[in-house]
Amino acid sequence: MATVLEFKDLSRPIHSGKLLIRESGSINARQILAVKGPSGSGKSTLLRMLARIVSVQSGDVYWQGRHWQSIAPGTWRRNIHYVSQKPIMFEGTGEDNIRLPFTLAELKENIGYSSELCQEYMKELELPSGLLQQNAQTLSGGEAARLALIRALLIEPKVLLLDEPTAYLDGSTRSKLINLISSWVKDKPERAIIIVSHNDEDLNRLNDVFVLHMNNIMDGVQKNG
Amino acid sequence: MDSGYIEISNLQLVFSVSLVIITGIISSLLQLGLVKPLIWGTIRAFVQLSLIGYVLTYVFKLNSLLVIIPLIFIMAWVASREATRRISNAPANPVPLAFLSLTASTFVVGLIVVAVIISPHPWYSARVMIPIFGMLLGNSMNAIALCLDRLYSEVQAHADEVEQLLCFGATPWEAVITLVKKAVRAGMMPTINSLMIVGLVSLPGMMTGQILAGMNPQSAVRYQFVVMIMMAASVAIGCILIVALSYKKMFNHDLALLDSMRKN
Repeated sequence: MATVLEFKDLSRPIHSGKLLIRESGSINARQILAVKGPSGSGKSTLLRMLARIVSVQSGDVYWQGRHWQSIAPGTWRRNIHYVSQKPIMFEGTGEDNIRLPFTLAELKENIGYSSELCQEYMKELELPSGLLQQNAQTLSGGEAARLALIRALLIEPKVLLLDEPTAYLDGSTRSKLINLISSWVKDKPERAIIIVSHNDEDLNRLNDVFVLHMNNIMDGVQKNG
Repeated sequence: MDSGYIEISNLQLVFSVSLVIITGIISSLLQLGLVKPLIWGTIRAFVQLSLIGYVLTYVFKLNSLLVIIPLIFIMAWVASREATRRISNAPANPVPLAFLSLTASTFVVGLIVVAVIISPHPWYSARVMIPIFGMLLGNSMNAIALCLDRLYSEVQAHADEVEQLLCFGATPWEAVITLVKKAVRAGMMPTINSLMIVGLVSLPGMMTGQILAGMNPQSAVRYQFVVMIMMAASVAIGCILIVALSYKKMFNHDLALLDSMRKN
């Protein structure tokens, strides 16, 4: 199977420089890589480095064989797309939020908004269509998290970097979301997912999961998140 | 008396110091700790104004562009330093960018006002140019300070949103445009507000000065109107320039938000 994303010695200091994370790994097409490790070991930071939204100290990343510095940051971030644990909702309705990425030059040039696909995803995640007309600031954490994932899927990324995607969800919506990403990754050959989750139950539901253990420990210092 | 101004004698000048004594007594009674800064401020104001009085007398007498232009540049540099002095959250030294914005905005507007609207003889008359450019710089300085401070604090407060937009593939400009608009509005609001209330609450300093100097109030009003419109224009240009020049400094070479722009 073809390697979609490969990272070599990707490093960055965290916890005000007290800990240096350094990781290597790769992921093949249609696979899911689960990043595991104790709190504060830098799992989110690894995803954020891969998404190029924080600087790295050293290291290289290749997407389909191309070095990341040979690809414009905007194009990279849309394709190697990071979905944060805390869903970010902007001013306006749910629909405004869903359509927001399509107002940017990067998407205008490449893909269009599909309301059919949006409705399909909403149905799968048990979100009522009236939610699109609701003020996004009034959505519950679980609704916002699901809407944020749909927004991410609609911009057609190639690699999804999911940071605790089920953190705000209860049992039933949790399994719906896992089912959705599980089928999404299998749907097209160039897709892959890297997921950070503390929930082993979620990870066990996914097929083709490979695990990357991050065991960065700060000596004698209690770490948070 | 109607056409001339009333000169303030040395004795009258000394008497005006008694007003400082009143302020000093209040500060002392309430233990505000302002006596020393008040005395120092009064001395500085007197010395600075006396010096500028001599400098202006000399510059007006020379009336040469070779003196006027460097003087305006010096004023702009001082204004740039002052505008950026209290901005503690700047990701890079903001003085050069503030200087560029201030000089560009004041020269564009100032030259139109001096050469086209007021059009003295010669067109670069120091007596007209220096006060006009001084007023423009003073106003734009405050506007730029407000604008820049607001830009950085807005981006820090909304770092998550900026980052989210970057994740969608936004350029740095697209990621901060909403916050840029807020910052420009913040910079321009005091000037727009002053347009609304001018003449209703107080008479502006320049108009007061002209009336005290014996000018017909109707003529003073015309000058004041031109001055206020030109201030609004230079403030708008200055604010837009400073954000256009500064926003990229909040991003690294890979167009990601700098760590220092994230509060958490």
